[in-house]
Amino acid sequence: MKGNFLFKFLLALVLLLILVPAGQILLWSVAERWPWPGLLPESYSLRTVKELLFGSAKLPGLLGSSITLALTVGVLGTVVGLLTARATQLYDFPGKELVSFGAFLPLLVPGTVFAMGIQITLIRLGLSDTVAGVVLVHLIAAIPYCITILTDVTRAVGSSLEQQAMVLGASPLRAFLHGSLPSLMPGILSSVSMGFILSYSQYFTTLMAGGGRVKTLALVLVPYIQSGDRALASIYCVAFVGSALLVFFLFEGILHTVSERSRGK
Amino acid sequence: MKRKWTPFFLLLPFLGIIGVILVSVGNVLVQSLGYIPAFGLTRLTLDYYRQIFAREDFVSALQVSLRLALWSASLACVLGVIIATALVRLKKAGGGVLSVIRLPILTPHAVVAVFMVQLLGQTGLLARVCYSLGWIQDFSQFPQLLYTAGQEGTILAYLWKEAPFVAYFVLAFLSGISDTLGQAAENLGASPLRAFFLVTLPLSLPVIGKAFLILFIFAFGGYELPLLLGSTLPKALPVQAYLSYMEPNLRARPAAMAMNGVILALSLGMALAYWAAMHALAKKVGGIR
Amino acid sequence: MKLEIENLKVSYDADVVLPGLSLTVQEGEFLSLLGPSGCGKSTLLKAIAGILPPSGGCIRLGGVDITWQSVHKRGTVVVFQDVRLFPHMTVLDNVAFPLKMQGVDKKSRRLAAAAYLDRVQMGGFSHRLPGELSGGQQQRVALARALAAKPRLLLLDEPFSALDENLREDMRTLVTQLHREYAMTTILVTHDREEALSMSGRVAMMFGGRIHQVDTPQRVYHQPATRQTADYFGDCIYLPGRVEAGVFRSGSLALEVPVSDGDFDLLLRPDQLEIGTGPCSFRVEGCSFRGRDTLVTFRDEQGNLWKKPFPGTPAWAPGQTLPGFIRVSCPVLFPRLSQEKD
Repeated sequence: MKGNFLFKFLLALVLLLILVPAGQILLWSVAERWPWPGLLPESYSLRTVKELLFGSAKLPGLLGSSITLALTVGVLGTVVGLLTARATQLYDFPGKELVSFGAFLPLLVPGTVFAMGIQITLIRLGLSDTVAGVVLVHLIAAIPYCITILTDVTRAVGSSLEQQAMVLGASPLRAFLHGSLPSLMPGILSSVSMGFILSYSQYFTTLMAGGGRVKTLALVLVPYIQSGDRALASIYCVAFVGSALLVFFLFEGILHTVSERSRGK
Repeated sequence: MKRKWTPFFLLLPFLGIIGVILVSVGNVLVQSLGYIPAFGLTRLTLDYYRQIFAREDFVSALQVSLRLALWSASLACVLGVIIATALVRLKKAGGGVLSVIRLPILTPHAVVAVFMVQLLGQTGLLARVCYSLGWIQDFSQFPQLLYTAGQEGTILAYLWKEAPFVAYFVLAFLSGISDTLGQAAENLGASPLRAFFLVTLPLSLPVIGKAFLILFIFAFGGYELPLLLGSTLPKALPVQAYLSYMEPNLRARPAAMAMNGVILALSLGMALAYWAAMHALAKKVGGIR
Repeated sequence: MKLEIENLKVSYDADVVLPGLSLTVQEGEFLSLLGPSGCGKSTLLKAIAGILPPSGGCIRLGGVDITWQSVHKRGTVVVFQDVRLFPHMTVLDNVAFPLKMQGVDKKSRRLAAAAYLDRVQMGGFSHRLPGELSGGQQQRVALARALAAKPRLLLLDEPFSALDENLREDMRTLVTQLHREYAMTTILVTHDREEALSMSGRVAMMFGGRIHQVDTPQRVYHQPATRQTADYFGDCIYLPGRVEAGVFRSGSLALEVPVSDGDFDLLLRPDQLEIGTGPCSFRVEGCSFRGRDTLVTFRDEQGNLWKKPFPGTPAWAPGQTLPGFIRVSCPVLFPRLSQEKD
């Protein structure tokens, strides 16, 4: 029991270290003057907020397109993950183990190397500087996570419900939709939200594949950080983290409702 | 007949994706070996690899990246395991505390960089707290953690984001082992510490090893954090590679690709080392239920 | 060592699993905790071992208060249902583990571990890994490991339920032998009636977090203290009647009972039924051949169903009426349900 105090202290420290910086950028984003060595800003201003909402970055549009792109990656990644998981978990075929190795492959190739390597192919395919190209590149990064999540869920759910449905006269598609899909929902939502976060946070791959023409919030963020205008950089960080959390919690909320409902069934 | 081919059709999108990765890797290798017909280079050669190893900026970049990767992956794993153990021990493996710990996973590297500047910079929060406590009189007395050749700031930044990742990654497995076998060990007379080191930790090594591998490659090939928090010189390898890649003199391209090739080789080498280690471990353990 | 539990309260999340339980286990005794799943017997075991913290009450082992002592210092060793052998250690090292924790040097503990393994007939498996053993073999090693820990109290948490029927019988014999040999205080948690009755010195019947009766197997079976205990052993028939002036009457039945006046039900079991001669008639409802016996269902004059096994295959047919009587040597009475408290 004594050791527990040390752990409690550690966890408290960790929580502090996570939450304090978050609080800090909130303060920085509305700080007008915050010279050394004050622990709180000297004066506040809404300059950055005005810049954010009405400035050159056109936030609403940027936010919309970034979220749409990231959601597309999430959904596509989940579809690929579902199909792949189905293949490995419900069927038997030679070379099954290679699939799990293959799913791990994107993690072995760092994003920078991958992006620099694929650019020439994207150019040849006419996909460079396009949203489609960016989606493809983000998809590669998201795949390992989507496959992992969906493999676990598919294995757990199995095909028994579908078999039952088919025995009762349902076509394979309906058997899947009414049989397995409801039970797979939590995993599906988890995978979409994971894919979303990964794509939403991508910088280098967006830069390379989009050539600076495809603008996402994550991409726009970096020059602001390098600009030295701390307040502006902070507000953009707030915008980013805030929007990411909103979408993420939305998914968690849906997930919660879906799980509750399926438990009631 | 239909049944036999169904898995193949299901796997088509996946195979497509794998294909794209392999194409990218292929491009890197081919270009690094000097074959870029568009630029008029058609001879396969190892010259570019020899070239970069003779370059001061490459060699120091390689050292920087290795250092960065080894330190951040190791420290993140150690810290992450400790956090996961704390969560298991205090029975907080769910709920509010876990949600907060997940926040860094949701935060992109650029934002983490901002966090670190505001926290660890010489005029950052820590420095200001030290001043209020009277430990320092001027911000120049606060140690320089960012933009240093030792990459301390970058390592700490990776730690901030990756230790929670490790904790989250190993949590399920670790708690499973701890609640059954770890508990049995304590029941047989082992103190919680001994139970952890003799039973829980050895059995969790495969999962921890996987986390280490992922983090190592991630940190080794990472761009944003070394760019924003690293020293101007020497640069991290991916930053260096990108700079060479973007050089207006296209003849520098193969050299840039050779750098990428080295990054790839090291990543793959690490992965192989992991698989070999896991294989040896599996023999020793003979499978866990 | 003697175990004394006083008013132990244990809650799990928001549920109160044990509202306040008291129990004493004598030194060297073999006690079974018998009850249906969910009655809290595993929870009680875990609380004794220190794995679950109590929210009230007191536990004393050998006179010493261990309620808040940490798990690894208690000396209350558990053999778990899921075995929990350490997969990364050989069988020998598994058994030697508690000795290592006691500070015994390598050579001595290996010798001692080998001896324990021999005792459970697993001597030839020292250098195997647990993953290579069958369920029964693993459980034997787990027993050896528990013994090596020199427990002050041995706790067995339904250790045989995952094993095949035949294996279970062998394991029960082994445990009974070991208990006799090492004379340690042992508590067995089980839901298997036969197991509890055949192995224990005393049986503690547990329902809904409370102990209803602690007695010898014979008394628990023949003289259950509560209806739940009686029902747990099955095949109960309750004959309603009334006690007046020390005599229980029901139909033509009259029994002398040391009970005050009131409405009562008499507990009857099929093994009290004798077919052949007697004043009552029983109508055969059906016969089920079960291999080593035949289960015959009778209906008596009051309409109760009696299911009694007979060896071989009796030549009776459904519809046939046979004479018989009911033997009552030690009447067990329960107050009529509407009057019964709790």
